[in-house]
Amino acid sequence: MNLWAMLRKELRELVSSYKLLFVPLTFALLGIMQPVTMKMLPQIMKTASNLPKGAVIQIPTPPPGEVMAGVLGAYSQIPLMVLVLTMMGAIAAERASGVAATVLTKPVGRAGYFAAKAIAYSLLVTVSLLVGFAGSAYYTGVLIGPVDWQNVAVAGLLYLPYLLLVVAATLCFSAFMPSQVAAGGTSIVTMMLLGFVPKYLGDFIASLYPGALTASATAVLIGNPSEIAKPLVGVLVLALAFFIGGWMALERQEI
Amino acid sequence: MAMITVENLTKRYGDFQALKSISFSVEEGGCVGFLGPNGAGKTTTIRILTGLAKPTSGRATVDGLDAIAQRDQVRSRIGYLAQTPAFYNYMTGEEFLLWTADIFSIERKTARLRSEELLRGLGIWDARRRRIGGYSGGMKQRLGFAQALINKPKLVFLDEPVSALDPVGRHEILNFIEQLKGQTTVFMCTHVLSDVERVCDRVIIARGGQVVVESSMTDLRQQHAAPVFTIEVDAQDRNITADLLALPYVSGVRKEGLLYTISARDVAAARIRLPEAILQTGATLVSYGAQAPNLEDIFLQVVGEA
Repeated sequence: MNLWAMLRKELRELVSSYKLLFVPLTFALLGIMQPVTMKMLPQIMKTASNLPKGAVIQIPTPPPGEVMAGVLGAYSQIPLMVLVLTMMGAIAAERASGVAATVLTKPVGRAGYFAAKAIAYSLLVTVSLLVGFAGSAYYTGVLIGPVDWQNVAVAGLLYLPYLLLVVAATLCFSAFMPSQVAAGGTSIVTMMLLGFVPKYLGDFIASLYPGALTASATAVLIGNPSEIAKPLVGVLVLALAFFIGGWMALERQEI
Repeated sequence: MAMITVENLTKRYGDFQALKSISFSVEEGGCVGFLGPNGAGKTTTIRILTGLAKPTSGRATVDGLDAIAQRDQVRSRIGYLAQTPAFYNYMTGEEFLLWTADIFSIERKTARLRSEELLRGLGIWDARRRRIGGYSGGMKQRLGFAQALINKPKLVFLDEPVSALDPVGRHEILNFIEQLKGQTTVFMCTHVLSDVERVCDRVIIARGGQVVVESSMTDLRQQHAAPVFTIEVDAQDRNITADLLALPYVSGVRKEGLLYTISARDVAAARIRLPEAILQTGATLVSYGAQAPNLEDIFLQVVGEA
């Protein structure tokens, strides 16, 4: 089947471009940094600051749940950028190089072409989150204290739709925008805006937006679960809208 | 049956009218050369026929199917070689071909045979295990041919197929296109006239987004057959232009050094009487030739008519 052929090519590309290596690695490194810095913080403060001799620094080591919440916080920065950078060319660059014309004059529907990329990159973020989050939880357990693995799993599952939204938005803009740089820029700005603007658009929207979902993931980790269903549905619908929007843009486009 | 029909196809890009009502048809079999100067709308036409672009108005069919509404079905019957074909550079040539075969749902065993046949036929068999990123422009062009033909298409679109090749490669690829003619309809767009002369049976000449000539090669030659004679005289001879112009069957004379290009009003008469008439002027005939106008003369004539 040609969707399978397309998907196989996308997966092969993830491997040969080392995306399957360095994206999970980014998630793992930046995640593990959290328990490590928390553990080392007193020492870092001691060596870094010019405090007078004998000054006592007392920083209580935060509970494991809070450290893991910090991991999710860290993910919305550099790893998010890395994700956008790895995906922004997915369609825009293929169109610019002309390979999209080679492929799309064959019996690959534009839907199949788009779907293969969406599936492949969704897999990439799933693997990255799994590796990164599990690694962070493991080191939190080693360095900070016992981790509630069940909460970690639930929080990870709640955070995944947020990453899928990043995939959907970036692919959508990669299809829509004329160049990969424009696609990357728009994706980052969109994700940033989606992160806080909806908070001020009334209670209903504020309960649905991506920030609310990451907040509920954080709440789960701290052991203080809150509303889950609404933001989950909200983010999944938004991701679906971006997927469909990107596909429609591609369908109408001249390659 | 008509393999391609194009009726009043127009295409606008903003203010720019790339195609102003283009119409033509191509019969099954043989090779059609689609000629025109840069900006004539050749690539735009191909892009519409292959489903990459949509026309602003008009109709086009490929193998009886609507090229726009049924573009998904059209694509399994055609092959397309872009002007500068692009591939996934991390794949090897063979891998890319087999992957292309997968897209057409060609069974693996058949695909292997077919790809070997094409890679050997196009002279890139030895490079099949190398990454496409390391291919030269000519090798990419050959691989472009292979991927366009992997599905044994009924119709193959070639956009400037030999312009990236060296003279040897050009010769080989033109031979290859000639062999293709028996198996598939070739629609070749180019501005290299000698290539069209060599392999095509029909020509369509476009200019400024319109078709100006659509005819078979032989008809075209006859229509524009203002026969020309070229003669060369000896260095000591005087200028004989006036003597030649005095002949009733001669319509024009152009002198470049010792070469005279003579166009005839009455070909039959000129053929019989011109050599003798030249000798009577006292000039020594060094060489004498009668030639049919080549496509370049016709092309310049047709495209130059403003």
